[in-house]
Amino acid sequence: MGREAAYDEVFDGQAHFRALLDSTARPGALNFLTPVQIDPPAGLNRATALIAFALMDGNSNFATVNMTQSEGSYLAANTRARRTEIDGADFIFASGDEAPEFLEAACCGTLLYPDTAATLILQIQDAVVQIQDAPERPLTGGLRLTLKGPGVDGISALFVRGIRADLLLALQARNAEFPLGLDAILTFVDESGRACLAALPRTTHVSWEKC
Amino acid sequence: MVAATKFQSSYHYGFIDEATKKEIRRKTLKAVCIPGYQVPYSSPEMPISRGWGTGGLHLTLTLIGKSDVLKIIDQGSDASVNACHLRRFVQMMADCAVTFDTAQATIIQSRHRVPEEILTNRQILVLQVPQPEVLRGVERFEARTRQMHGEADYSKIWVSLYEAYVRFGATMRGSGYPIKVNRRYITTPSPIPRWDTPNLSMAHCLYLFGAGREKRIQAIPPHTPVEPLEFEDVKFRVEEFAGIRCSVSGESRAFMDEIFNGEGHRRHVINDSNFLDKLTSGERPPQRVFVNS
Repeated sequence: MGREAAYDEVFDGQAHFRALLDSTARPGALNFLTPVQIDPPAGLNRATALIAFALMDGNSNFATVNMTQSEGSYLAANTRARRTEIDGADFIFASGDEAPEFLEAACCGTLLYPDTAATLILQIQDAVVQIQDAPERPLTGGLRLTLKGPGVDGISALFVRGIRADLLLALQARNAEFPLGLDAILTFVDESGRACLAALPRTTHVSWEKC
Repeated sequence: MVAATKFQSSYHYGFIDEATKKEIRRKTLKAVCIPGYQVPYSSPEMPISRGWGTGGLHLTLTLIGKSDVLKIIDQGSDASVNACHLRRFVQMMADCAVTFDTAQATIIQSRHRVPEEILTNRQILVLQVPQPEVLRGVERFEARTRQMHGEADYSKIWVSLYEAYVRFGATMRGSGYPIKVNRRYITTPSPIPRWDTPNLSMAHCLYLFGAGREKRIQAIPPHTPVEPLEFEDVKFRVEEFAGIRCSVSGESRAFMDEIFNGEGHRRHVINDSNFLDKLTSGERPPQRVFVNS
């Protein structure tokens, strides 16, 4: 799998990190990644690939959940990160439709070093932020997430399609013992082709209902 | 000959190499995910000594892009020697805009002060931290303090506050007053005056703390509860400047510097230089002022 020539490690990496930082500091806030012409294999969306490029290097490990060899090779070739099993991975790439069993093995850090926990990158179908208690539902057939916690001004609502409720339940169970937990990043490409992301750090209390 | 203009500078963009930047960025994200926890990081060499603002520089240089507007203050002033040199260095390395205006800046690096003006959700405040370990005064070994943080065993810091109170009648912390972040980690907000400490709580902006010599990054995300440690009957109090007015602007309700002239006379001046400039030009920028109970 070839290397992406159009990606600029210095300036694209910086812009995408700022989007990641803003989303992490404000859980549920959607951010767009500045466009870069890349062509990841079918199992990865562009937002996922760009986040991997921004954060991973030869000092980090990653695991893919139910993806083919080509997705792993693509990430390894472009970031020099090492592919490993889920229990040793700093970054875990999965689909939001995945059965939640893989979370059992993911590293939640230790009480002495909670920062060694894994970061989950979950690919979803799409997501919309609910603006100011608007009565109409921006999308149907998904989940309405209600978010509370550090970074959220009161309560925020995010409509998400392409994530399983039992995956959120398993994530909640793994985040029950703060400071241990998993930090999740949701990624998708919207209908106009923009690479988007939202984050659910371990401190965020998530509740959901079908919409 | 290939004209590779991108590589014509003899320094890397942002001074730090990309692999180290990525490492600091990963640690910064984890710091934001665990509010108040000190994340160990690499703390690479800088052209200034460790402990002279390198932690702040590491954060600023990994955050900054060409479209950012940078403000650097030292003890509230844009004009002090440290602030001027750090500002010029970052501007040379990152090719960004710089400003004195608190409202214009997207990244503000600071030492010992949080600006008086309310910061917005577009802004990031980077604080330089000399000693990130709030428990160091009561426990000398890193392995022990780390375990105390892991188990939320904070009895020693409470006892030290109590002892200071019974001996001196006050908790005796002029700056760097211990705070509890998101009801879990007790940490120090760096040596900012008590006056600024309440402004860390439920703010709109992101606070990042870099301790270069001690190699630690910590963060307080926006809208996060931050409580200064206090007892039921002995409450946290900010500095009072009762009856004192700024000798330049005539205003009150801001953190004041006390200036002695050597002949037994003294006067007070508002410490935040940009805030003072705005006051003297007739503006009154929005402020959050804590009132002692």
